[in-house]
Amino acid sequence: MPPLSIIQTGSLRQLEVSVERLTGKTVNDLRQFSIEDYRLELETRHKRPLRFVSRFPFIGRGNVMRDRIINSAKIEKQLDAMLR
Amino acid sequence: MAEHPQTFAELFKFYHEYVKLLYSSVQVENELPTELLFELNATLDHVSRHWCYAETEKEVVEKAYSHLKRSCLDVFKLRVKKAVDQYNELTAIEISIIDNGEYERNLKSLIQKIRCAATEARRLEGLVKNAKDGNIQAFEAWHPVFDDCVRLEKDFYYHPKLNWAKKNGLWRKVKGFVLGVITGAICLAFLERPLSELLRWCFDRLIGFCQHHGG
Repeated sequence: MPPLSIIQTGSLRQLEVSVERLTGKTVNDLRQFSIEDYRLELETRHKRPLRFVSRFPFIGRGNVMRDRIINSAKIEKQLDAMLR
Repeated sequence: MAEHPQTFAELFKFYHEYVKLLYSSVQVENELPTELLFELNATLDHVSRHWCYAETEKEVVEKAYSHLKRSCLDVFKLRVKKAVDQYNELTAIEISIIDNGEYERNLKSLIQKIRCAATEARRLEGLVKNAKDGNIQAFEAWHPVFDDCVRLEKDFYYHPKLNWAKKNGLWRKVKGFVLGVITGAICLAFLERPLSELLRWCFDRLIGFCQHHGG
């Protein structure tokens, strides 16, 4: 597959190296594996089924939580506070 | 390929070349944030509309692409949050004893670099939000941040000497506690008599004061 032209090649390579380091797999493997196969492999490695978690309001664009309503400005503030 | 995908082939190329990598970087923890899945579901929904509701390919690709971009930005933010959490966890340990303080100095400098670069990437994201294909520029600003976050995890959070520092830190605390108890006991042994005499003297003076003013 030719390189992606949306992202500059050098910058994309930096990301690829980071992802390879994080996952321990080559980017070619990651791209070619079906996400289902990869999930099964990870479940075997971790010896537990995949968990679904919520990272809202840190990410996600909805504004309704179970106990309160939060707007995107507040979400942005939380992120800025973490970066201070 | 154009500056942004305009056909399904280009959209899926972006997915396979870029989105799938970032998705894998989250999936590797065997935990998936539902918010990330919502973005991918929304992508699928837009794509399906081309066949089910006769929306044009260009239109659905544009909408689907915006959800894919959102999912990528979410992954970058999650990675930074994780790095900050890992840093906070590390600072609770006695890390100043690793490599004669070199580890702590490098860690602090790295987290500072991550914070500055992430702030800049977010600023760029805000600046180019409304520009056509602007988010892509912001993506490139996130790449070094992502790289540094991975470095923090691999080189610092999983540092081989960290267990030693944890044990050593615990031993130092225990040692401090035992020394405190011994010092206290010694002081008590030496000062028990003068202290009790002082207390008695204070008590007598107080009683005397009360009697004098009371009656």
